[in-house]
Amino acid sequence: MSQSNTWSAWINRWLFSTNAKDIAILYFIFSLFGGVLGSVFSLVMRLELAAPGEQILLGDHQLYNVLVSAHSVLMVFFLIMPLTAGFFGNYLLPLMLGAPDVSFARVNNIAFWLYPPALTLLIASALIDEGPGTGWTVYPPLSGIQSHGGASIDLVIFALHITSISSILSSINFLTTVLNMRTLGMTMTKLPLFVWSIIFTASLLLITLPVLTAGITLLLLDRNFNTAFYEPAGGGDPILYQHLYWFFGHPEVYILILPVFGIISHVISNYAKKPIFGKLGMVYAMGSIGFLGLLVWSHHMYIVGLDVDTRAYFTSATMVIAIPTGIKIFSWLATLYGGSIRFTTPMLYAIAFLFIFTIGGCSGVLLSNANLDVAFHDTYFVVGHFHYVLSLGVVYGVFAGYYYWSPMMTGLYYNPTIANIQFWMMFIGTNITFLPMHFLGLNGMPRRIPDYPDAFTGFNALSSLGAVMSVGALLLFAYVIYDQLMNGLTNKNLSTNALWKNPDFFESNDIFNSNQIKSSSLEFLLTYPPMYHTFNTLPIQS
Amino acid sequence: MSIETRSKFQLFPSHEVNPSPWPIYMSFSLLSLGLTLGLLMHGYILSTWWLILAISVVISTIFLWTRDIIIEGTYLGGHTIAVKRGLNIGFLIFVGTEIMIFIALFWGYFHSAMNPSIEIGCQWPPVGITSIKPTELPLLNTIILLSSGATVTWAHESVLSRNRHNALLGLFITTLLIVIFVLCQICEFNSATFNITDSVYGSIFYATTGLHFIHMIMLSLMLAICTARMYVYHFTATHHVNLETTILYLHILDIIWLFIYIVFYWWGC
Amino acid sequence: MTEYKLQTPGFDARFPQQNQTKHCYQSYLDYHKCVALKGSDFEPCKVFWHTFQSLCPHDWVENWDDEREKGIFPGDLSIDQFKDKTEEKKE
Repeated sequence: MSQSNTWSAWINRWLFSTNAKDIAILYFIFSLFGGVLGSVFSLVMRLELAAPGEQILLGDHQLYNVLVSAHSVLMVFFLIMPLTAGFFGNYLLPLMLGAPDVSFARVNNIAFWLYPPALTLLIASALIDEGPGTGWTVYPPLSGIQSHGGASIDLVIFALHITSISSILSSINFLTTVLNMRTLGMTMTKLPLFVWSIIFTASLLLITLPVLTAGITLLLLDRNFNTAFYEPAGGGDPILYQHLYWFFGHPEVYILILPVFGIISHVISNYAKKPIFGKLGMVYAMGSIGFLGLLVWSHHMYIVGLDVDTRAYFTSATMVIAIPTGIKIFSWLATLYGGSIRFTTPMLYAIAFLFIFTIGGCSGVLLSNANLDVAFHDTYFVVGHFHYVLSLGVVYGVFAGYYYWSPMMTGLYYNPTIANIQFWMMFIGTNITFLPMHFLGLNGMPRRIPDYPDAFTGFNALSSLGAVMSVGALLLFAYVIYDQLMNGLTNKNLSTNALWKNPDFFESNDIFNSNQIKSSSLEFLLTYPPMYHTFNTLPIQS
Repeated sequence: MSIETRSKFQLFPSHEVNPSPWPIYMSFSLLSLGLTLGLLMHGYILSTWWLILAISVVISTIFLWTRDIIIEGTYLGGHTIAVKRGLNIGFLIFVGTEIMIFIALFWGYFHSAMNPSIEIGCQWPPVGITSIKPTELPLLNTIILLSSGATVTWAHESVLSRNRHNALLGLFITTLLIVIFVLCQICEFNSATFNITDSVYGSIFYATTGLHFIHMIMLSLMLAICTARMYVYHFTATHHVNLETTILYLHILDIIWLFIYIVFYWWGC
Repeated sequence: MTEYKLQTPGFDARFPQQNQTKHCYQSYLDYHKCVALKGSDFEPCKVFWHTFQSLCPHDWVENWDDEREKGIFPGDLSIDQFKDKTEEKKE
């Protein structure tokens, strides 16, 4: 009897869950899965590109294209989105608001459980027929029925439909939670920056995802029901797809980066022992980035034949985004300035993020020029740019968040020495991978090709070396998690853990009097890990 | 757990729902729907019955899930004022995403219509397409929808002023009007001289009006459910979230229809 | 040595895009309307001819000529609205 009881309790807790924290843990496990798949695909691509000529794919160039597509979709939709909004959002948002849970708990559960089906569809699409060799953009006519005759593109479209449903549901949930379930005294201006970042992320998702859904549904109709939306023979226009796609695709990169801005703000303020510099300005900067992000989509399409005035507008609008981004970078620097800085692992990641994101941002300003982009378009310079922002920027932010909050979430502590080694391996590995890509691009190496002239050998070999190092760093991260789960309580007493302390500018009176735990926001004032039902009595924000 | 029991120890107004199997049922039935559709379209599955099976699983899960919501809201008292506000906010945001999906389709329409490509002779509608005249059936449809907006307001006012008879009548008339709209649309689609494969004009016309049409079918079901719940005394003057969301949905679909009428039937004909 | 005069159609404010498809097409329509209205010897029609000959790929033009012969050309080649005006002027 007890056996069947534990079994049904397990099903109730993990499969039928209505608890945001449990669902967050599910998101974390799932995104690790997606991340491992995506990383393996990228490693295979780098090994193929390690030297000119056929390396390991035996000249199957469609397979290379499928790897590119699977890598991009996995990393964007199955690693970063479930990790930032799903894991951190679900775990931290209710805690930071002082809410008992999210607003629609069952909807929260379906938002998670739609991910495994979507992943199944994506993997099925790669295995069936010739696989989707289109990149994450799925542009027609390449994705049309003449070029990709099999079922694979259709399954990708369904996978994107299902992730879209999931993200829309969780965004509705987050926004309603923030608007309706803030605890007593928690006004909008007092919301922590991470909550604000989730607000803007959710708003962007809600505005752009329906447009993506419409765009790919029309593609589905074009492929299977003989319509002519993107088919020039019937008066349609493939450029329309690019507009609809990038109206989603550009805000999508801000959707990926905004939660990380929130995480970095928390980490930097905590380990500089200062409140964040210009908090309201940071909120407005994030809002401006999100808003401007909706108005710049055509800078991905400079060479489709837009007229000069359009390109002039999109160039200027894109450059304007550098201003709120600059506000954020300088506010973080101003927070660090004069702070009592402790170089813990999350802080190392946060500082590396500032450096890396500035580099990625500057190459972004170069790319925003319509005239320069004519040369840069579809070269490795673009690949280098967005990997600096996403693969380094976002991923560092996620690592910072994990190292910052995981002891609170699990009650188990990682070994800071190994974690620091993991940081330096990651930092060196990813930079060696992606810095040479800029030079390759400037020399004219096009992206999405499995082979290249001998002249590009040196930088490509270097880049592949870096990729192997980065994968080593990921394996070490797996060990960090293992060590944290197995020896978490012993690690707590390590002398290297002395730096893991919280600042003293925001705390409850009780805790101030007993002078035990000090915290910059609500989640650190709870038990480690927090209770299954966190707030039986609502906390009160002064 | 009833509100009396819970209020003894729950010190916040939110509704903590129990673990529920429907989300995971729903997501995996959507997986079966996606896979079936994808494989059916490319001849890996030869029988449409699998598709019908997948759709019926989705629909029955929706049914069971909403049944739970009704039980919690109406019988167990889980929907406090705060929860009702949350549901309304959530539905409002959802309606926002619906508007965005129609904006995307309008974008597609204007992209093709304002600068028609040379393959269709730089003309809109293209040569050979006889577009539907805005003064015929579409005008009737517009009038029907505007009247349904009026009758549903009457029904809502009657609910608020505790007039059960008028509320029932208003809801019934509204449902009837939406059903008439759906039937008129079926007539119009059947008698049109072009179909969805006739150039980009036919494609975007049927994609947009068709999406609106599917929404109207859904709306007529929602209104029918509201009427039924009104009839079995589920709604009170102060507690009728289902009715409020349905009314909001109806008005938004009315407004979208007005834009469709102006742009697709009138401007583009 | 013969002097060749090399000329391409200049900038037309109606077609500011890089993609000059519409420019080519409009000139093709204008040329055939012009010829239908004024006869093939009318000198100003030559401007349209030069423009579409320069901008349009030849197989497009051949294709359109075919379609015109078969009477399935989708473009608007009607000249009725212009005829009225010229007749009014004559009167």
